[in-house]
Amino acid sequence: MIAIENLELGIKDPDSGALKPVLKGVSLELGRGEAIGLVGESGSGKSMTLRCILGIGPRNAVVGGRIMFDGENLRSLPTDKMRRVRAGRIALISQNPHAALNPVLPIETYLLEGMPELRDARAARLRAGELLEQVGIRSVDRVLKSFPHQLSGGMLQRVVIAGAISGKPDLLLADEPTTALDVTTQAEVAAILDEKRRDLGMSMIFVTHDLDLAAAVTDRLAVMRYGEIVEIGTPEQIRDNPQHPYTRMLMSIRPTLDGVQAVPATQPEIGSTL
Amino acid sequence: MAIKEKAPAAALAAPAAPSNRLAAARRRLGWTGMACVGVVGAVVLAAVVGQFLAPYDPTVGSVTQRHLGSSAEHLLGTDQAGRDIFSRLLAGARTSLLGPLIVVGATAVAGSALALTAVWFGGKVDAFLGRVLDVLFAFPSLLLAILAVAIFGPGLVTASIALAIAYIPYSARVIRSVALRERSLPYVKAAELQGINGFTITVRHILPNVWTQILTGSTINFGYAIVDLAALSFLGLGIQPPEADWGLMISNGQESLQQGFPEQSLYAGLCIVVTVAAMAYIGERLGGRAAAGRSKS
Amino acid sequence: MSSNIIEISGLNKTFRVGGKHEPVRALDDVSVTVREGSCLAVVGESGSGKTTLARVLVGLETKDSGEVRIAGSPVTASLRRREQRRRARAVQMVFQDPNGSLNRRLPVGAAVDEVLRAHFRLSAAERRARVSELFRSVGLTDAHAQSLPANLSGGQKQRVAIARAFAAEPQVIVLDEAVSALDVSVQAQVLDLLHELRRDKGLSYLFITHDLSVVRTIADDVLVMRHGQVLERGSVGDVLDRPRSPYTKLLLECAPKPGWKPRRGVIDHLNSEIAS
Repeated sequence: MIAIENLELGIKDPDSGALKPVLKGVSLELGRGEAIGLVGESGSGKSMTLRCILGIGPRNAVVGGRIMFDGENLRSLPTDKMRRVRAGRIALISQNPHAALNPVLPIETYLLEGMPELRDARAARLRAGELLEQVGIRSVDRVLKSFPHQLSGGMLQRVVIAGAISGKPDLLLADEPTTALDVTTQAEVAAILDEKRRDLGMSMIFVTHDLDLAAAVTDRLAVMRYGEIVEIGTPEQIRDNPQHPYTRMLMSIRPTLDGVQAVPATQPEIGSTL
Repeated sequence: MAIKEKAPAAALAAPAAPSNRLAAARRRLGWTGMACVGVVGAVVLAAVVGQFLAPYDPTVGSVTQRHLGSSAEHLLGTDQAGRDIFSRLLAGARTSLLGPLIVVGATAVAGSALALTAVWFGGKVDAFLGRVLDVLFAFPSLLLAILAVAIFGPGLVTASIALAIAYIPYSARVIRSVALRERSLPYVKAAELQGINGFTITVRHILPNVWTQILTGSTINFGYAIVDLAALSFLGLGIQPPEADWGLMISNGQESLQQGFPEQSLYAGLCIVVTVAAMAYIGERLGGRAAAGRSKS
Repeated sequence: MSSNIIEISGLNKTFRVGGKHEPVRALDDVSVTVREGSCLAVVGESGSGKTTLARVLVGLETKDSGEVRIAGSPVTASLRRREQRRRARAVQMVFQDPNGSLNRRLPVGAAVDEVLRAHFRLSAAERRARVSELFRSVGLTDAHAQSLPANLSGGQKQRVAIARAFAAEPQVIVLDEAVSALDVSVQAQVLDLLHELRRDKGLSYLFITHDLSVVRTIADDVLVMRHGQVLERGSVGDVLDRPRSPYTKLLLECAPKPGWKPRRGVIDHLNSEIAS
């Protein structure tokens, strides 16, 4: 479905011309209907990988490697074709739903824009309502007429999910979609996302810093650090038998509800590395 | 297993050295900008030493030498009183820069003080100062200046201060909006919670963070001030003849213009246009027009 | 039996949002006590009132009614100079965002120095020594003290914020989501540091968080808030292992953990349970 082959990305310093490596050869394969979690701390390059797939890397970026999507290299695709891929076959759900929604347009307009093939206004509106029901929104009419600022973050993220699945894309890119939400809302939104993805047979790349959350909604986990994938495996493998020392460290120090998680004695003091 | 913190030791050395900042400014200016800096530098030089470089006394002319064209003797010719135009331009640079300098300085100081006071106290103080500025806004700047000159008599300082008063609301409004954003940042709250007093927070924390806006606003105001002061001199309310001043020269050149000798007004006008353009370009490059708080005068 | 360092009783606070809306009750008859030398975690989701509680406690927000005392003396939001200084010596706060809470143009050592200058009569040399000592106590060096916030990592900036909070030698420190913005590896270190400092200096913490999973590492007691009300209060063991309130149960259930699967309809389920 999608295969990232040795993806490299460096950001050029405008002053010195020096290249700061952000991605150092990321390779990842994803089958149809499969979900993979990209897990890592800030600066690991997990979000940058998503941006590369969409072809929206930062300025001054130098990119290498291939991103094969159904046999086509997205990186060498002409702009108009790439736009069509982005519009129809890949959908993005980002951390901040406010960024995805125009503040001066009602939800209805946002959803209808995503379905230009439905010429009949009534049919389109019906479909929009249907989509909202699918993501667990009950007061459909009210939400359709609302503006983004009138809805809560959890509600907006559901709207964005509804918009993302409306075109039945092949690939969902979720970039920390629940990080800005409350824990109860996160559970709800994650459940909806997981369910819809499975129902529609979409592939998904789920970027998060939360190992347990990623494990719950994906089939495989890829642990990233400093622009590299250090370990890849099923959630069970990563949890019960982590191979890479970094993964082991992540597993051992994350705070848990079940017991006192002592910071390991080997944990260096921050000052000591300087 | 070492989790390395991101900042390498080298990056911890020192807060951006001045030479770095200069280099950064140069990059932002680009080649055109550097040329503008050259122009402004030349004008400043003329203002400082122009009087001594001038080949003739700028205030003394000879009736026999009226309206001469440009020649080896008189580079740009002479005016209706037989004075050397080039010498007068050189000498005029001083008043033409000094006036705007007073305007810009007074505007920046008073505008910042008003804006920061309003922002720090907020609420009623902010509202009251806002109303005062609104009232000042209601007067066109030139009208206010003419009023002041009518009361205190013409002259460079009077005209400059009158203009400064007219400019204050613009600059105060811009600085207020920037400072307001700064005031709402958590670090100001944090300083407040540390028990640090308002004056210290304003001067040590907020002011350095709005400094760029004050500075860029000033460069743009400088351009406006040259033009407005020239206009006052043109109206006879600023510099008094026979002093050399660019605005005054345009006004003095009026009659000659009708008689077919445009040189004096033309060259003086050109000086103003080039200086203002260079100033405005630098300001625009360094901070954007928005910093001046108005789109045109 | 140690005495209470923080005593809050019957605290009320309402906000008016917009024109036509009903005023929002951010704090609804909230009473809280914190034993001297202990750490109370205040847990809740957005809109629970936990941050308003913190802001009233440090004097950033006025209260409508109720009483707030730290070490026996009342705390107000007065802007009077003396009251401000007294408050600063009683309670300090560490904010969530380490980027925003430091002045980007001031070397971080100077930010700490400034606090010393506001509260103590010390010579320049004494202040320098004290800044250096404070930086060391949070695991940073003098080299860090010279740098601007932009040259420090998130974890280092939060350490600076902690050092600054300690500079005034307060009795209570309010930690408002102080580790929420940090990566887990850094979070663990900062939690560890906070724990150590509390033990060494005998301070008391009010630890505001939305994340129940960090509570066990740092807190002795937990207070669960929702819609401005206190739903449950008890020791960490009681609340996390034997929660009484259905809302606490839900919070625990929704937190991702190994083997966990998100479920749909949890919020509706909760609402019906609370209504019944």
